[in-house]
Amino acid sequence: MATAHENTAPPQRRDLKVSDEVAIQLIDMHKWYGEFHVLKDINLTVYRGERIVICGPSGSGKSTMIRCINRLEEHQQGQIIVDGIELTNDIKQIDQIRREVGMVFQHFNLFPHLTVLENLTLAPIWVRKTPKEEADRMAMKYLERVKIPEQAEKFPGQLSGGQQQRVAIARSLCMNPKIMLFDEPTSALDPEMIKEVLDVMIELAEEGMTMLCVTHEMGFARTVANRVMFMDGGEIIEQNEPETFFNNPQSERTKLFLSQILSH
Amino acid sequence: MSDAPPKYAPGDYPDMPAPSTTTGIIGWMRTNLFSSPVNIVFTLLFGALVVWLLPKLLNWAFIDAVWTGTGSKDCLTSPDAACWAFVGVRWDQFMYGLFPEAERWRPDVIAALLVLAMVPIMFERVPVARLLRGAAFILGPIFAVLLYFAFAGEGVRAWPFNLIVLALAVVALIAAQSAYPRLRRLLAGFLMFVFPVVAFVLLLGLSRDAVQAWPYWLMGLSAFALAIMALLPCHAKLTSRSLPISVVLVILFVIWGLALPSNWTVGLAYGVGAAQDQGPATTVIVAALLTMLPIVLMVALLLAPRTRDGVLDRFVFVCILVGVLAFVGNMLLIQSWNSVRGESPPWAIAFAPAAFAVAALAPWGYGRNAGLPGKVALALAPLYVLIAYWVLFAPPDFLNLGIFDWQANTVPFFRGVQGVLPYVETPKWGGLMLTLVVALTGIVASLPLGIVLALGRRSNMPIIRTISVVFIEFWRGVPLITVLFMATVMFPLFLPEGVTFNQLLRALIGVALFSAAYMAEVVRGGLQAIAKGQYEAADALGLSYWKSMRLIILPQALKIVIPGIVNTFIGLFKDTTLVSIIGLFDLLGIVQTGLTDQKWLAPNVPYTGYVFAAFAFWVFCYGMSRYSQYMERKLDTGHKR
Repeated sequence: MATAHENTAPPQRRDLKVSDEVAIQLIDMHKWYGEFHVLKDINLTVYRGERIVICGPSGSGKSTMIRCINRLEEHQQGQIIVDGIELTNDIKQIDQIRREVGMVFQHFNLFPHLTVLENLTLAPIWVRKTPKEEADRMAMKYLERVKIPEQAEKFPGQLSGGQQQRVAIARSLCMNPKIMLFDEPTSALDPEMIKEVLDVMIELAEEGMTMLCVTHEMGFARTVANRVMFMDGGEIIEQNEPETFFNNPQSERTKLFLSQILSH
Repeated sequence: MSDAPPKYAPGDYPDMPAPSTTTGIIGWMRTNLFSSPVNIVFTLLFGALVVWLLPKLLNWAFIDAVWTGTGSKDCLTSPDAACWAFVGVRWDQFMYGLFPEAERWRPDVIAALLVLAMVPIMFERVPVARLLRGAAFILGPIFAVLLYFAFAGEGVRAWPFNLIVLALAVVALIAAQSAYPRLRRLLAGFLMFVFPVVAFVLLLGLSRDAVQAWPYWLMGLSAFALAIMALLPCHAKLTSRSLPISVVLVILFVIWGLALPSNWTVGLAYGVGAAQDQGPATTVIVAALLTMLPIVLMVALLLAPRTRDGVLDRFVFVCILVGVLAFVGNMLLIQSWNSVRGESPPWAIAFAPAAFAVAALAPWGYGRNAGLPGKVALALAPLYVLIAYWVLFAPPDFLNLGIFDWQANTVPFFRGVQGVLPYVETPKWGGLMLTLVVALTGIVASLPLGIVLALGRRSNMPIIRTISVVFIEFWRGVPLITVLFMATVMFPLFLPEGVTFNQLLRALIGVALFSAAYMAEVVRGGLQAIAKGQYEAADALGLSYWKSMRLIILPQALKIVIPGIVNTFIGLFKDTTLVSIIGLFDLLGIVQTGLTDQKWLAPNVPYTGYVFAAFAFWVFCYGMSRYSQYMERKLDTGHKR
């Protein structure tokens, strides 16, 4: 698994430029589901152009954390500041942040009643008020980038899982987001289709997109991420640049986790 | 035996045809009729039942049936078969109730309009070739039957020809729609906004009070136009740069919204006045056309393709056209004034065309390269129109400067209209017409209301949720008969003395609210079937609540619950028969009333009447059912959730 992309991925990818500008900041953030304390005292600063991979066992709160960033989940304590705007109950600010933050889901969540092209143009037309012709043009551009322009008129139900996920990525990109969140984008895919999705994500990283990615693709983490983060029990246990993270993990919990996912 | 199956290398095995016993008609019969011994027995039993029953049925309904006659003695010539003569003689009553005979063209026109506008929308994107094939197969025989009816008996009858023309018009509209997709939006707009008004006015006619109150109606209409027109520019992209210009345009449109309807009516009134004073009759027609034209053009322009600058450009075009038309209308007004009165009009009337002409130029002031004339026109236009409007068309008791006498000038015109459309009180409505009025109103009102209630019940806001729950549970918890009785007996007790409420209106509201509660639960079922991921994806893209509901959730939810929705519609359609208990004569009610007629006391008459009513209901309900299946197939995008 770890070596799957190394021959196509030059090692300098890790050194892609990261600016000093802060994109996302989580300060002393807590979240509860009823009585259950899911996220405990999360502190995280993401700089523009950073590519962060978040891993950890299921139930560790990694998905919940990135879902808090575009307010699909509400946090109860602490601050979340995205692109200079603090997330509060103000609907306007939430919408403003959601326009700038793209999200890709594990189960794609494409709109099954719309064609691929309509899936892509819906948000630009209705949220950004882009004229239809322009939105169509932009959508085709992104479909070409994810290499499936010929599927534009099909419905999502007629595509393979990998194609659907690439459509979902293109759909987010159509809003010209500054930040992209990936919530286990390849977990629901057949092994043959994982590569086509990861290739698109790698390309996106090379263009300097700020990315937060919950994934277990350690090959992707090694070659693309400039920071890998391990979460367990609602806490960030350890974060480091990938070389050190994989070769010299600090905490015992991380070592155990890595030995388990890398051993098979 | 000799030709052993050929061997193929792995991965090369070709696709072979399926065994003949599993496909085609033989395969179908094997799987569906003779698949097992039990199945074979049932097939034979049901076959025997059909052979035994079908001749009896045919005898009863057709072969031995009495087709013509005037009373029970004709029916008694064949007492063991249907007596269709009863239905034939009372046909008009079954259709229209006690609606005056001379006015029955009105429901006919409404039905024709409904079919014309609705059928093309229902069958959008039917390829022309398929349409023509279908038309040849289905309409051909129907035409033949209609033509037979047209010439059979004494004299030539018009209604078969009318039906043929209607059918051809529908086919033409469906065909035209595949060539001009925008036609569909036009028809939908007509159905939603124009048709209810037309149907209301045509069915009810004009009462004396309505005529006297006309200027106030006009004020109301103007306010409505005002609201719509003020909303139009909100569609345009409002930036800080375009904001002032948009505000000016809104004001302009508000003024036109006020001025145009009054302008047209006055034009019409003068036209009719001219006709009555032996003036040129053509003026009437031209004036009438002029009243329609701006509306048609505005709709057409709003539907026109977007230009590069989007909505605002269209808006400008509309402004110019409306201004020009108002100008022409005013010229005509002056013309008719001159010809009727033999004198020059007051200065204010002469002023109006100029004002509208200037106003028409105003939108040229908008745009990056607007020159000085455009800017001046823009600045002056509201002023001009404002003056023209107040001087000319102010309603009787609202800042009227006395130039134009409203009552004196418009009421004669509406007296004329009243002559064409006399008032028909709702107790005279009945038969299939009443059934359709109640059912269609219920259907049209219950779906949107049900959707709102379903969304309300799932809302996070406790007050809205509580209101929805209480509403739904109350209306679902009481029988419709109770609702109708309460509306008739109890409701008047709560009204102040002297205030009356139309009986039919009460039934309509009762039926609509009743079915809305059922509809809400059906729609809620659909909403709950939508995966959480769909809501999240919509949220993550920044869609607002209403947009995500309208564009993402409801289209999918409603598609899932089409069977449930149509189920409710069919239930509602049949429940309309209950209005007979509050003294309204729907189709079943009027058939039952007919059965008590002394002239038709024969044993086979009640059977015939009930079979006819049942068949009429079945035709409509089965039609709805088939259409829902067609919709399900059409909306199936082959997705798995």
